[in-house]
Amino acid sequence: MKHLLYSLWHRDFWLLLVCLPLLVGSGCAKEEVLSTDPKVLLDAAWDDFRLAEYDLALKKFAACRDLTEPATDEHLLALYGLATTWDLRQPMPDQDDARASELYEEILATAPDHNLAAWSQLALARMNHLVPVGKDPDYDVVRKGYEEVMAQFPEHFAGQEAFIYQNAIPIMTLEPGPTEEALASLEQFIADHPDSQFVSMAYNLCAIGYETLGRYDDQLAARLKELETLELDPTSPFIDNSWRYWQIATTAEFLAGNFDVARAYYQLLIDEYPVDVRTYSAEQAILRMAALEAELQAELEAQP
Amino acid sequence: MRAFLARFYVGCRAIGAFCARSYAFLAITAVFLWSVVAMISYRAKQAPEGAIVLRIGHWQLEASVREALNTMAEEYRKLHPNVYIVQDAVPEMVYPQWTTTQLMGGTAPDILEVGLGALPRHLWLQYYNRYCVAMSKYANEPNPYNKGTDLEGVPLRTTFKDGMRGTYIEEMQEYMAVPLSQFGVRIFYNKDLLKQLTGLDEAPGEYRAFIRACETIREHRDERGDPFIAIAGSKYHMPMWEYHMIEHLTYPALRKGDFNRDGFLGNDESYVAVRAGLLGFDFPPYKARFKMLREITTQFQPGFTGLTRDEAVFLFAQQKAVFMTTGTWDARGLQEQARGQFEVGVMDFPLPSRDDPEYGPFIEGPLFEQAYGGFPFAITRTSEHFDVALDFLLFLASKKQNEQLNQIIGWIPSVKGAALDPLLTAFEPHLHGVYKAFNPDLGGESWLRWMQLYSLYQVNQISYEDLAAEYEPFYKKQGYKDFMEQQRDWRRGMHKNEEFLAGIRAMALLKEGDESESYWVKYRSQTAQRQVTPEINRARQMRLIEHGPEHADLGPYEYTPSVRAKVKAHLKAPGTE
Repeated sequence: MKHLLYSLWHRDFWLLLVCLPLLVGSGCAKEEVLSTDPKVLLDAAWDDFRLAEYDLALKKFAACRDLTEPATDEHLLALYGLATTWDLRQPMPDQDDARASELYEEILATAPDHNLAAWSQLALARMNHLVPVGKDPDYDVVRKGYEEVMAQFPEHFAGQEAFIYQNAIPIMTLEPGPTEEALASLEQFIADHPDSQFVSMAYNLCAIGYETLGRYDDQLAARLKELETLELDPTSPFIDNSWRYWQIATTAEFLAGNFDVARAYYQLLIDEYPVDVRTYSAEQAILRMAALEAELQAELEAQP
Repeated sequence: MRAFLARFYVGCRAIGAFCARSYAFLAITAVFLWSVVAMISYRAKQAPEGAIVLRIGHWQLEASVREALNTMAEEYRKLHPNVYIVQDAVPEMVYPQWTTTQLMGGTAPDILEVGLGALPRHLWLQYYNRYCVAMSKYANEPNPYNKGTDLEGVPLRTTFKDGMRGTYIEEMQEYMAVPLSQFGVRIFYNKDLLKQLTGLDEAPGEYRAFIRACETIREHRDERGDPFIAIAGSKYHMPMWEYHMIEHLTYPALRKGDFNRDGFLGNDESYVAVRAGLLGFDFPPYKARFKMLREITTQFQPGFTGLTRDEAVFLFAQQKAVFMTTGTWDARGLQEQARGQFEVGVMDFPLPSRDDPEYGPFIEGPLFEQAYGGFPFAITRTSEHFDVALDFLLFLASKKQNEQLNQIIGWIPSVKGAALDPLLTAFEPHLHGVYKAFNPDLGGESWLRWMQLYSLYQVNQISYEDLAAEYEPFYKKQGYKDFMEQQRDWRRGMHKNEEFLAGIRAMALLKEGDESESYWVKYRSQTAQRQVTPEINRARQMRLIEHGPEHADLGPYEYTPSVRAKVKAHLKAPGTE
């Protein structure tokens, strides 16, 4: 081995010298030539973002920004991409909140009525909510941030998403006071926006709030409305109704004491998802309810 | 002439001197050139010039798998004469390294078996993301090779027994692979030895009778005077016995701890239930679980926890043990090993009867087995023939061809309605029953402590009472730190979720029409599931830990007095309660 190395190193040095540029050349990555089409650049940059290639994403977003005229859609999308990458890149220590905020603010200043202005405003609010692990968010600041989004973009998806996040905070306290306030606000939202895509999420928060207050009949009604207004993604096998049927049926059986609804939803689970993990349990639940009813009926009949 | 000879001589000497001086370099160059020539000539033999060559990489070294894929390749070539399939069968032990280097080097096969457990899930996620083509679009389109069958026109994903659930990657919201087989676990037994030692023609299906048969077996000795082993066990086999025979005794715990009403008892819920005083090691179904475990492991050979899979198989093949549990993947191999020696039987896991005095009260039903597809293949982004690779996968995933593929391998087909080998009917999953509700650790130190004590229990070095006395206080106290660490992990996950949602939102913003709408639906449903509801569930768990349940001693699936009263009122006067 020693001899081999000696031979290669000393006597055939010239051979290595010839090979070296080839070896180095083969190890070098070819410089990527960026497209000059902003749309191609944006697609590629978001692909990089989703593949966690943040530096490549930043490079492409920046190239798109430099190629495009300010206030155009592509320019704003490039700014938004840059801001999102600095805001959310992983791991967290690599994030630069100050730079991200600056970019979001630039979008808001350049095109305050643009679609991306709403998403930028929401992103600024979310930055205050998603604090580093070990720290608690300053909920007053968080609430104020969501309120700004809602005030400026009340009919926009971003505004309605902010509404959901904002009301989740008092619901999360599980305390009657804040819960009642949030419920009033959620009920108003449902009345004002019956066709909103966020109405199902609002019913979900209502159901949790009613449970906190021990209003189990209202909780069950909210769960039923949540299901009725739910948007289903047809491309995902996991977002199905099986667990929702189970949730409604057990809420009806054990909290609301409404066996008719419980039976109906256990039966739906059995009929629509015959090989679901909970199907056998649903069959047992129907038998269990019948047994309890028989027991209680016997008690009633035994009473004078 | 002389001058020429002199020059030739000098030239030869110079070459000789160069060779002598540089023999090491020349040797390496020669080996390198030889390997290049060998590889080129080997590849040339596999397919004629101008043919489309698809490479398929997998870790199944069983001869039947390679034979089956070759047969299917030949069948496919009858329809597409210019397509040649070349297998890269790589040992399981080096498959993670091989896959990693091939993917990173851009030289991965066109079709790649994915999901091997030896590679951590987060790495597979990265590989799916970077190097594999998402299959969602094709999962929602019919498989053209199902034409003329009852699956004609049916979306690909619904042609599978598991609906392709096993290859749907939740984190990416995409189907990433096509599953070609299904697997099951049962007990194999030596029919001849069972008859010889116990007089039984068939293995008992009832638990008590099975244990009695095992004890009878252990009373006998072979010609060398060594006792026969009832069950060949190992650390590899232990989880199979636990999952298929023992764990479902714990199902009643679901009533005590499924606070989020999803039908499962998570380890966080289990901890909350223990802290709230609803569950504990004195819970009778948990005690029964451990008692059954002790009764089963008593039938294993001594020291089984230190043995590997092969050592247990060896005992079974050498007719020293009567029973052994394993999966469909071993069925063909075990039959081959037993050929001419003894007859192999396959039986389901024996269950106690409902009137069993000890276990009967906790047997609420048969065991539920999730029907997940396995043997999953993805198409790599570097494939130069994506359309052909997809077409070949669809060919393998069609009803007729999937049946043929699995018939040759000896596995269960993954496609609905595809017939299976009679030996494998015993492996069909039970899709009706109850399941595990026991999750005694939270990771971190509680996991370490649990594993230490549980290992001692398995080999009968401590009693259940000692296990409970040592672990439960530790779990309650130390578990809180691990529980809180879980909370922190979950909060870290929220940042990652936010990044994931930003990616989906961007797709929704960039696309148009239905495609854009589909992304928006995904975005909103994932926002609710990942960022809104879980935070509230965590808050509820913390409240339960700190304040206990509203109705002491009553779990989420138990009737409260007010519910009983309400139901009674309804019975008395319907609609007036």
